[in-house]
Amino acid sequence: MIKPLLWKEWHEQRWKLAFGTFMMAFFTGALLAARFSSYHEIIVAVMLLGSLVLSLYSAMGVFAPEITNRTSTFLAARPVAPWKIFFSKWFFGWLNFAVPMLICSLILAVMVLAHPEEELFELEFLARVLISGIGLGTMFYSMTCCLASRKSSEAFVGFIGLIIFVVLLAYGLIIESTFIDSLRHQETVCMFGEILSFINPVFWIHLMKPVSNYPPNSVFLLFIEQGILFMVVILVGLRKWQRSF
Amino acid sequence: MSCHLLRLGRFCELQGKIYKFRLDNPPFSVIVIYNSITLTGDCPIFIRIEPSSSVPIYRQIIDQIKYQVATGAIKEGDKVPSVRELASKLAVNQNTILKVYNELCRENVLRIERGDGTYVSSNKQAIPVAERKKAVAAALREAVVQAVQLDVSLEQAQLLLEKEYQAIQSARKKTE
Amino acid sequence: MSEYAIAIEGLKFSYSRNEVLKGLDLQVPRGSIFGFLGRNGAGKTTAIKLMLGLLKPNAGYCRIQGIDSQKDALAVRRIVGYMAEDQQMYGWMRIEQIVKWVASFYPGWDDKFTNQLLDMLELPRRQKVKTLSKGQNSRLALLLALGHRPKVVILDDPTLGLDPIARKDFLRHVIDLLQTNGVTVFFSSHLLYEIEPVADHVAILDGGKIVKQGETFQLRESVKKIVLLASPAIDFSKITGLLDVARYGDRLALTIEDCDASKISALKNSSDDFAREIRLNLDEIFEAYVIGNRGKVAGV
Repeated sequence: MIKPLLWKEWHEQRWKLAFGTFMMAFFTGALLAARFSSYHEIIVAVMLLGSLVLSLYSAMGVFAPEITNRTSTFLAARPVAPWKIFFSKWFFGWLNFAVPMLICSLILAVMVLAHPEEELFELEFLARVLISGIGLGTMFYSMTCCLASRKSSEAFVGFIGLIIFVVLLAYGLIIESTFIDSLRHQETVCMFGEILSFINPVFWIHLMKPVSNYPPNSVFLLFIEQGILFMVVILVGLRKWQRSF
Repeated sequence: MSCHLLRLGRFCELQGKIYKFRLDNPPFSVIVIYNSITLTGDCPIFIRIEPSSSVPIYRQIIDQIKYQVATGAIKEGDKVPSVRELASKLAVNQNTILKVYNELCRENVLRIERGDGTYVSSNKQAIPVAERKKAVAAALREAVVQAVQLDVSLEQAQLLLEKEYQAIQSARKKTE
Repeated sequence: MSEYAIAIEGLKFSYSRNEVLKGLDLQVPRGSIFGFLGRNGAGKTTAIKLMLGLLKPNAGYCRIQGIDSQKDALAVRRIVGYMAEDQQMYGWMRIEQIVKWVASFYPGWDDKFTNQLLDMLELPRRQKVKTLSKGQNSRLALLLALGHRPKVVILDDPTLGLDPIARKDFLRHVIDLLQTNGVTVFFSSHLLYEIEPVADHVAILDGGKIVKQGETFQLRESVKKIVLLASPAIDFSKITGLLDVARYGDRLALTIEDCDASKISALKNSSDDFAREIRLNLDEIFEAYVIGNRGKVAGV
């Protein structure tokens, strides 16, 4: 019974999806055409734009509009499990920023393949940046829409997202400065530092570095911790949202 | 062209337009085309419910049906609407209408023919005189209490009583 | 408890620190049209949401057709037709789209019946929901509640904002479509003069509890106002079922429930043999239960 839910979300969100794709493509094209800086920097900037700004914009429109329109009671009164409704909304919100990022990457990849002699950038780099961007975006998006799932004002959700971002950034900077030095001194502290840091979604950015630069267990740790954080955030969001009926 | 109204019996009305023209074979000169039909129901019971009244709804309906039988607006042998029809027409709970009809049957105002419907019964069916008088006395008692409280003398009340009797008798005569 | 369509016992619920329902007990007989009365904010909508399993109670249970609302909320919603207060539906959908969408959630949806209803309720299939008038909106909400042929229908203030003709038509549809088929209708409203012709049972919700429940006509018959001469011989504490006392000069007006001949004669005896009975309409009865002073008046 999730099909009618997906159909409804698709119908409501498709223009947002189109808008996101257009904006991402536009920014990428504009920056590339203006030749602001090197290709690498532009790609990183665009992917960060997508994973932070577009995901925030997407999160704002996931749960809040239905509560404002007061159609949430109508929806919730159907004989369908609440988690299915929650998932269909979350999924389309996720698509709203992931698909534009994907399409942008495809365009860039086509660019590279069309001009092999120019050596603009490596496809592997593009893939890494895309994955880390989607990872960061997914976490940031999920945290924002879940922690504010009861709120009816889109702008309020946006503000919560900004606060979350600032908190995560501050936490990340503290961890970096505390443990960067320890990294040079002891292995064990480094391990502890890694565990503490990878709970922070900001550290998806580390994936942008070339593969050979990764400490051995870091990728594994990152995925595990982020996975746990994700589960927790989703469950909290579901519970909160159910209480808004 | 003009309008034409055709009444079939007491409960059915057809409205239409008259078209005049000439045909030789077969020889016609007037055709009436009826384009609307109005059914005034099984029986033209007029019931008006006052929602905020202190009189309960079932009592209002009972009183009004009795009044119409008394004044001859609905006659013996006339078919009254079924429980469902009346409930729908008045937007009243079917159980209330059922209660009304049961009470009226008990008082011999209506009779239920199984499978056929409900009809107005003939007054000649036996209710002992004493019981009928008791019912009237009860109704009169309330009126007398009102009269006493409002300082209306016995003579004045008698005049009023006569006037009411005359009004209903003349209403009956009109519909006969 | 399966002789009752809806059975609620000891239901308690609080919004944050505000205790809205303080132990609700309610029994709705099968096939009846049940009027749920209460002031604005008394907790009618909350009780209904608890019945559908949309909220979780602090205590007590609610069973619809024997199914517990908390344990199996989805099963309850499958057999219940629900129309929310001032129901907002998806404006961008056309009527035929929203009907199809709602139908996909109910295995027992009756397409033929729904088509008949669309015609009977005069709802244009191709029109978008956001362009509907209030009356059409209510009729659409009713249709969506009835499409899967539920045995129990819960209507939360269904005639809110409708003009008088639309209101009467709505109630007429309830009687024609639902009562005729033995469906139990649970109907909350605060328009008492409207509920009275239609409901055969009523319950009054006040102070988080049901203060009175029973058959409509019995309520009308048994609650009366007695006007008598004020006299020191009258002991208010001895009068059982005293709902309200009001003083008018040298007269007292007592509103009493379960008023029978013995109570009236007892009052007559203590008041110089003068007592006048006044019948009340449902509004006045409701007032007596909800804001009546229960005999506690100073200086009487």
